[in-house]
Amino acid sequence: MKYTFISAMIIGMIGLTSCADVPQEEVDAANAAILEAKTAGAEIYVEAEFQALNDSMTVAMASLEEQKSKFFKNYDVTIEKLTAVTEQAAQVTANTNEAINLLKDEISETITEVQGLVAAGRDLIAQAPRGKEGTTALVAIKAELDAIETSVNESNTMFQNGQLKPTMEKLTVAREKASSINTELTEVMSKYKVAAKK
Amino acid sequence: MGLSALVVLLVLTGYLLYPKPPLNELALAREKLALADKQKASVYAIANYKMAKGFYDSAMTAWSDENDRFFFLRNYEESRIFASKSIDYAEMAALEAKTGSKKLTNNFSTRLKNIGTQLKLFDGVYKSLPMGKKLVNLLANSKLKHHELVLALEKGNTARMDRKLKELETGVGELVVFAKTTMDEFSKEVPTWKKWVASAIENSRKTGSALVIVNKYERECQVYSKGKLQASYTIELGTNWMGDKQREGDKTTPEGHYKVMKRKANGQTKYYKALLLNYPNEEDKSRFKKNKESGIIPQNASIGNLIEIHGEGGKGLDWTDGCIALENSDMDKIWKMVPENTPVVIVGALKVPQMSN
Repeated sequence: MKYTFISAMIIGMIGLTSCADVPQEEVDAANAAILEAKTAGAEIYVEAEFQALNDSMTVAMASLEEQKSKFFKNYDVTIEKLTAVTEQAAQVTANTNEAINLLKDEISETITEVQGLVAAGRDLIAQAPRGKEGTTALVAIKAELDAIETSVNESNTMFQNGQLKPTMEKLTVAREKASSINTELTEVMSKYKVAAKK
Repeated sequence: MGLSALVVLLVLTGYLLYPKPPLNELALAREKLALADKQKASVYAIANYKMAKGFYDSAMTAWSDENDRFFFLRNYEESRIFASKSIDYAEMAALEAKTGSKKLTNNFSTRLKNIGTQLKLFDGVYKSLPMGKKLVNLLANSKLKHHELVLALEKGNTARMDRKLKELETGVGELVVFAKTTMDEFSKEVPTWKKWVASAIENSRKTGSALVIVNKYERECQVYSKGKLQASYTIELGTNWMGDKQREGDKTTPEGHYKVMKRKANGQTKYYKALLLNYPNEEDKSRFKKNKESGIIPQNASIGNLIEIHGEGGKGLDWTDGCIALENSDMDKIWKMVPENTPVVIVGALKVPQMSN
């Protein structure tokens, strides 16, 4: 009778240590959600959020192993953490898509803007003072406009290849440069007009 | 009673002997890795960061493996060791990244500053340097790329920065070598030009005649009378102003000793008023023939003519085909002081341009 009781106690203890199942479904769901965020481009477009998401998953996995190490396992907290990670990942994915769409819109607008600035620059060159034999003294400025145009074309290719951030950086510079050229040309022309009036 | 005590003892012994996982070490490793991430160790301390990450993963794997074993047989020592190593490497990675990023940023910043300084020379001392289409395009592209890299560095985006900087340095280096070589060649003639001018002024003093000195580098036209400076005017030249005129259409203003052949009053020229020079002189003709024979200039080239000092200047840029343009008000003044046959000495410069030193 005594031995039966002791045996029952030991079996019960062993049973207790393994009675809670590892929340594999939640782990898989969290991993899948993280992968989805990564595939969406979270690593690039919402870098800090994606880093925070990974940190949360690391903590959740540590919590899982912690419970697995315990004599009496309880995965409730771990499940809570994993569910939160899944939700966080979904939010990160949504934020990534939003950031991408905003960037795409900004790129399209900037391409149009820079193309407009280049066209305006070329118009200004056409109106700018020329030499007696029709020689343009604005070769350097024309070359700069050509360089900007090449840059816009390169940006377009990068845009098509999905390199959104580098595209926007390139376009920002092209826009600044095109604006400054137009300002410079306008100033030169007004200077010329003043000189011509003398 | 005895049996209950035995069970309690067993449970207590079991709890005390139950192996403890390295929770603190793993938590610390995560903390240190997060700090390393903040310092961008994955970019600036790649090797140490990879080791730190690898050891953390190994610690987790070892922990997980032990958790699969029967609880009394578990041993977390290996996981603990891996976690400790992860901590060490993460600390090293964070430190290395901190100093490395600063060093790298300084390096990029210095190089970009140097390139910027060199490019600025082309808006200053090299601004009027006549360059071919290829170099003009190279300069325009270099300016744009420089701007792009400055912005990228400001945003902390240093990916492939070194390679891009090397490309830019090569291009700008080519431009600077061209400019410096051209300026050096130009500067070699300065002593000769100085002698021409000194001799012409002396001659003006002796004969009491007028004299016109055109200094191309300074964009200056000086009028002398009896060896004394009377007036100085700002001029504009041809687009390829540097160097001696070789042939028609090279947009270069000739260098040498000339004379005013004809005075063209308002109405006789479309450039307000003009002083026609006797280009080409005998020296120009001789050099033209020699250059043609040696193949420096094409056989069908013409030497050109109609080099004048005329009005309609004041555009703020070099625009003529080789003539010397003054503002109309200055043309009025020079017109009064310069009769026909007045000697005109055209030189490249009278002092060595600053940057060629």
